[in-house]
Amino acid sequence: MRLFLLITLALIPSMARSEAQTEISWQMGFQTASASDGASSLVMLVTTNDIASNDINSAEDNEPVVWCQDEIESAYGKLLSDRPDLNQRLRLQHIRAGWPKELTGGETRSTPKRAVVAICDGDFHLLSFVVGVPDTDQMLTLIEDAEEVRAVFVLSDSVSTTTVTHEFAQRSRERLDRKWVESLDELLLTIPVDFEIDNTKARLGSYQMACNRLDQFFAKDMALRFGFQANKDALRLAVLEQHVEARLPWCESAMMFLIGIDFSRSWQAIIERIWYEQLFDREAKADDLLDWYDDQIEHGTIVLSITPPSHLANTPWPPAVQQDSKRLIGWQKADADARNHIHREVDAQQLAVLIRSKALKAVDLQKPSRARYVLFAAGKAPLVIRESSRPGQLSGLIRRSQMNRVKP
Amino acid sequence: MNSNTASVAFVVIALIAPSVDVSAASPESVQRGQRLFEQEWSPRNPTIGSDGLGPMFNGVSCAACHHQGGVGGGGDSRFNAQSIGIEQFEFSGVTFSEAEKLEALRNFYPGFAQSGALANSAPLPHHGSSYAYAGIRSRVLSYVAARHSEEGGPANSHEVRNVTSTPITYHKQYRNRSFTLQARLFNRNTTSLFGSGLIDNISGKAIEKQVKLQSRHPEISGRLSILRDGSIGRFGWRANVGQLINFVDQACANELSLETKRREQPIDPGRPNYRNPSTDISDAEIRSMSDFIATLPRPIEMQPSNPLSLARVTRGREAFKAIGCAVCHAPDLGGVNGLYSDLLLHDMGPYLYDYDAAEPHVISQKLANEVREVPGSGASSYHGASTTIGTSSEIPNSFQSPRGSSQSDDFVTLDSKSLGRQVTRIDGTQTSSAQIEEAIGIDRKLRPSNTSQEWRTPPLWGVADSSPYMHDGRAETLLEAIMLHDGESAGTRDRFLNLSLEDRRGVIAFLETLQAQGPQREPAASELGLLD
Repeated sequence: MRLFLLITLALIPSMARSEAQTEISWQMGFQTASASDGASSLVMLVTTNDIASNDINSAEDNEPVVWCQDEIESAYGKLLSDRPDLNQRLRLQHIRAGWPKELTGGETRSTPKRAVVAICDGDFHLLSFVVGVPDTDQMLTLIEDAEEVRAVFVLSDSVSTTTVTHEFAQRSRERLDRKWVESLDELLLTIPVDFEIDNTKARLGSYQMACNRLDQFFAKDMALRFGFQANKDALRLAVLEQHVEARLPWCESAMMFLIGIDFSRSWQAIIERIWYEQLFDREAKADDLLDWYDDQIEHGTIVLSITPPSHLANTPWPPAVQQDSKRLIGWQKADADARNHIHREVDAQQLAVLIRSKALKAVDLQKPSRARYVLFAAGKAPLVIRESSRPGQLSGLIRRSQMNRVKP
Repeated sequence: MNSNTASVAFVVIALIAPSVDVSAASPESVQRGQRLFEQEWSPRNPTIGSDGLGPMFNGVSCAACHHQGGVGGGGDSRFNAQSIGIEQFEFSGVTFSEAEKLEALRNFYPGFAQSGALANSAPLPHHGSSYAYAGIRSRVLSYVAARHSEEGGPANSHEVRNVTSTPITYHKQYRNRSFTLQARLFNRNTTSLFGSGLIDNISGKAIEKQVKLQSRHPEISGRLSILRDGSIGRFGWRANVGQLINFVDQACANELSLETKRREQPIDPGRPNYRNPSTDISDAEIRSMSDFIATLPRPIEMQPSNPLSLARVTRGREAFKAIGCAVCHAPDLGGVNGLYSDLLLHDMGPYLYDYDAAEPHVISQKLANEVREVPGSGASSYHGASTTIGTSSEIPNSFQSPRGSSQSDDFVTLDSKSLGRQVTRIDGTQTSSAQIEEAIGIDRKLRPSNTSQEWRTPPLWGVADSSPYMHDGRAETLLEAIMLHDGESAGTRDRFLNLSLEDRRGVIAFLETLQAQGPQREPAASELGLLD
């Protein structure tokens, strides 16, 4: 019976797509405004963990711009009909920032789909954001919040964030439940917000500090509101976060540390901290790495150490503590061996660019365990050394490579 | 068992649980019932009759709490009824006398000890006419880190969650001994009464049939709520009231402290010796109120006028069935269409509990008579049955509230006569005397069950007009309510999560079409073509 109903369900056509009566056009993320766009223009940026790609036309058959395209377009279309004044000054952009196939062994990962929707001004200063896919009402609130931020405070380089933060903290207090208000007040007392508005690095530092505390409140909130344990139900939580209401109080609080930040320079750090997942910018360049690779590959095996994403940056590698002391020493030696060889530190994004540019075989950085080194030798497929590998394997490969090494 | 016994028993059942024929209610009775339902009661001088409203009450009228979507609807968390439950206690150090133990427990909350029995749960009504009670309530609430409204209940769902997630720890240190108690404040949300007349007439057979239907679903194990009179429960969060008229009768006594012929009003812990000299409300008035409630309009499915929204709702309704919600939230039951309930009890998991438990799981029952000791006063209320910790002369040194009933059988007295004899029972080092009686009753075989976390499937009709959700109003939104389904319904909840975002939203859009049609409700989004 249930199977029958599921089949029936599948046969009911998706209505949301047809609900979008007007043709909605998407732009690439951070595409700058045209000269005709006025100072009041706004950008709705939809960031998802779809496979990092900007070239939608070359994507697989009928692949949507982003996984939640239907829902976004449905709400966006209704928004524009409710607020026709937005027609000429609101642009819709997408950023597909999920793991590229170059780093997932060529596979498509079936992780829960995620989305963050942000509203920025024409210069990509962040004005409001939510985690999840907003419906029309939530989208309208995002727009109104963004307009309020801009109306109250004209963003410019000379502006201090203190005024903005305290201005909008009061708005948040009126929206948040009592415990969240208490946590927000505590954060505003203990975490610095007095920066120039374009001091992205310092502001991200404060945001990260705030997140550490907000995550604790969020875990409690999720347990009480949805019965979930953050540490046990991570996957289900990720699905639930497709609904804006799940993380709304968290966003409302975190926004105090992000108002007006340059989103084009900070989006990866902001969203990685929310998703605990590395994000990829398909537009990223790695020319220096490519040149270095071309120079070195003929001289022997190249060892690339993979630096962790920002949310894992505090975990030391090689490990400082490990139960098996032999293994601990082994990793420290292997890492030293690597650094004395043809070596370079790269992050996953640079590695993806390298593999794509050189048309190398895809590697899997996540499974069966986190990759720490990738070795490249001319004419051979890249070799991954993982946390679960034997450290002696890396040392051995380096030793053999040194024996065969061609002196430059 | 002889035939006389059986006929006596059936007569008793008929008196306790009369069925209401909605059509038989006169317009005058319905009109009078509405007046009584909306009437703001006030305390009266007991020396010239009965004491009227109070001494402890949750609201001054039925409509004060039942008003969402019109008179007779549910109420938000501000109108929640509250109780305080003992999770555990321990007397340690040099032995406490029974009187000292009783005093220690009463010092925390005197409501636990009433009429010689000691229960693990006691109501904590919002208002009391005695200064003593106001002081007691205020002291208990001072242990809870939550904000309460002027109406008496938690200010909102957030505060309900704060209340239920924070245990109260009470510690009293004496010279060479101590008393430690852990308690918790529990809430019950005001249920909507729309369509109650139809629910009242759903046959027991139709409800029993649901049990058989659900046997096809291994993860679901709905069971009947068999009441102590042998009938099937239909009303209340625990389905522990069989008929509408009894629900009204008990609500008058428990929520307004209007003493009825069958229900004493709650005893004021601040004035434990005070009793109302007479009843506050007559049977005729109770019947009129019941007649009025039975005529309250049934909720409806309000289909959106916008064809695109309608398509989303249709898709959501299909998903609702496909993932298994409709197994318990049965769309139709016993000829009542659009109810979305099976009226059965389900184990909702360890996070949704309180100590006014569901009736034990009865697997068979028969009429019988026996000669036995007179049992202590049963500690129960219309919210559910509390667990008896002991009597004022027998209090254990430590106690932990059970999450379920482990009884294998019991005997429910329907009628009895005292044989006037006394025997002395020797129980370890304790001795006590007991009266002997001959009783006619129901001999029941029971199965262990998690009675403190078993809840009646609430009808979803009118759900759009009855926020907040779950038995205590901890869920502010439908999404929260769905996600809080655990226990038997955990699989269904997970299938909901496995739906696409579009289908999940469809399910919620469908639920939002289930609306009350009371005379005062605000037009819904879908009626305005705004449902998206």
